[in-house]
Amino acid sequence: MVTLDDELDEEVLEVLRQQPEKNSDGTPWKLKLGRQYLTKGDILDKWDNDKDLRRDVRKLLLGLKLHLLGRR
Amino acid sequence: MAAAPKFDEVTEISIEWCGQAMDEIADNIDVLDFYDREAVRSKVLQALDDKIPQWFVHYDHGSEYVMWGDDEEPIIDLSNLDRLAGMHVYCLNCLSGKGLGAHAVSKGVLEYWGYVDSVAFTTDALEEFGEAFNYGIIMAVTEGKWLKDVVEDTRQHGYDIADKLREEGKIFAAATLVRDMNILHVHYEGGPEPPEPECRMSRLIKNLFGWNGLWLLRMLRQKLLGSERARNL
Repeated sequence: MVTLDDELDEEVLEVLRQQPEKNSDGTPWKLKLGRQYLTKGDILDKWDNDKDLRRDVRKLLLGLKLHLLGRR
Repeated sequence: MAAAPKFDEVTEISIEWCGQAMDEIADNIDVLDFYDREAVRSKVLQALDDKIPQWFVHYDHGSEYVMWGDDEEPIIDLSNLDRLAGMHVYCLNCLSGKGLGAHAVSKGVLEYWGYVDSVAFTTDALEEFGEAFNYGIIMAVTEGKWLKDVVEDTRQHGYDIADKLREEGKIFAAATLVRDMNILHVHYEGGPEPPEPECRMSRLIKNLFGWNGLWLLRMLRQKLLGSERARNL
């Protein structure tokens, strides 16, 4: 059975897949989140086994969705 | 007075932001900066002995009860928070808005600008993050206001920048900036009470003896166990 969490994870992963690996100046794109400083590849590599990271990234994007609802 | 260490990839970025903010306000006040290796406890405290500034700024790694220095030792922690009494304190660091911020007013700090969780950013929008993180100190100093009076403008400005980033397709940058603006908080006399401590024992002590009672307990714990070395930003 596909849970809401699974659906959300898939949506987050889709956003992540669309994120360019490099910035416009050619440097690697990185996300500083908590104690971690991660490239796109790092996040994808850790995705399946790092529950905390999944939760934090999910919260980030959910926060943006809520923000957009509030701005309408 | 501004202190900004530089000892890893993240601080290499935030020291630039700090420099930009100080440049912006340098026409309005004298800036005494402690950058890179100068940003250590002994040098900062010595300078505070010599002159009490109106503003104290710290950019970088923080944890709940510590503003970290370049030598990875605390510049400010619970034991010397009272050295900032009478000042406006502006922090871009992780979590100190939650811990130090909660005790700041009872230690005589006029107001404490900080983040109550870990600060986050992405490298595809460093200029925009710098603008959002610096906005409060620049507004307050150049317009002669208190930080508490510019915090909501700052939050809105951050949200506006985030909207622009989202329109540009920088979804993670937008989401991260929104989160940062959501965890920004200013503690000041007469302001909203800091959130109740999560720990039941801490809550009891705070209710019995007030924030200064809890500060004493936390400071003793810090003295006995040392500060948590694992830093955030």
